[in-house]
Amino acid sequence: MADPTLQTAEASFDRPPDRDPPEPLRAVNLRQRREEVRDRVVAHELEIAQHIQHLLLPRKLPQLGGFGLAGGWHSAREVGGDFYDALALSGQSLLLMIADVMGKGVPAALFATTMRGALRGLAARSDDPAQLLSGLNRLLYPELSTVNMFITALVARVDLRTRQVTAASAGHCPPLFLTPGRRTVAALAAQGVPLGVLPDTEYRHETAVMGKPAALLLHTDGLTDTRNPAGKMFSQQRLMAWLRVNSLPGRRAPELRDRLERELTRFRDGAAMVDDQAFLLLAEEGPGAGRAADTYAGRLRFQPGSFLFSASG
Amino acid sequence: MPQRLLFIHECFGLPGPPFIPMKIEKFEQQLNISEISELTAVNPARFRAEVATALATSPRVVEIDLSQTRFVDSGGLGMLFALYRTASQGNGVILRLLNPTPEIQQLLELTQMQQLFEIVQR
Repeated sequence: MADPTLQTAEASFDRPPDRDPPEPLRAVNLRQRREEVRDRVVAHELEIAQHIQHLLLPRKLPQLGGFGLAGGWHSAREVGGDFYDALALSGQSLLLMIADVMGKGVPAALFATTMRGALRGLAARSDDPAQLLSGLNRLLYPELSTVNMFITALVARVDLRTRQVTAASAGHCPPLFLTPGRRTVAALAAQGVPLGVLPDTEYRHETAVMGKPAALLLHTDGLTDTRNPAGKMFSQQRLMAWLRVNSLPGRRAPELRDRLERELTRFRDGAAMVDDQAFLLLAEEGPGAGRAADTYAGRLRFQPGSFLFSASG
Repeated sequence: MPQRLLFIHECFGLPGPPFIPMKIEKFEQQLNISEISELTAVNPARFRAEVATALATSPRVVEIDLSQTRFVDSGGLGMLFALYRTASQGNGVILRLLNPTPEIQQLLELTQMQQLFEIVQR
């Protein structure tokens, strides 16, 4: 169906002008004005798509006793292909997912939306990260392979009582976590083929135990590939060092999130953002933070092209 | 002398959008792609089109030399997956990635690229 806004705008072009310009010039003017109207309509539709995509990010992240979650999302364009999700499971455990749809813009955003719905449907039947990725691949492979796209994704189940992380990866950046004892940061070495590449892929999970206080960072490559004006990349090593230095006892997830945002902006130093970015931070916040689950009213800050959520006191 | 199928693309000095510089050559039944500085999302459609043109000559072996490749992003991975899909439509085409740097080797392992390509150090 034709866009009514466009029809109205185009209909106005048919009115006779006050003075007729020469015929070739009139044709050029008309074409330019039609293109301007179409550009405005496309821009308006992208704004709507961006708003819808923001609404699909979890507005309220699950909050379980003593642990906080915060997420950051920035798109290099109006809409993007990075996203995250978090679900509270029975007992003291969480299911976290982060994904990066190859490419940017509307096609990537459409698959991101589809994948979020598919994950939530599958998670009702299984909380096993490897099974969830295998299920997602079976569901999404036919469409992804048709359009030559793929998705890297990481699904992690976190048992907050034992601080155990179980993660499976479809070619995604490894999750980073504080190790027990020596306050070092390690990357959980889960590997796997991205979703949409092979029709039948069985994924395997890896497990690790976080230190106390626990800290876990799931991220997309838009963070590590952030470049400064000299072309130097932020890198996984710098991200690991940042997590080690900043994950201090009692520091809450939203504060960590804000610190990471500032660090990335400082590093970029005005250079253009070329890739989407998303991350999800889990932090053990100590006694008292769990009460926030009852009083949480949501905290939302909206900026053009970015979306920041937290679920913490 | 190898048969030069396509000219060497230069990132700068060409009209239009920038393109990943690379060299594509054919030696009898073998297609060699080399001199790739970065394998990124820059103009992937053109990469796919030109590699598809080269693949239309039905090579038995495709080798991509990554020894000079400093960076591969998700767009670059997408090109490799697209190449795999295109090449796997032919019968028994061998796909090889040569001499990746340690950083890129890590990325290839993360994405289990060895399920699709032979990864060889020479």
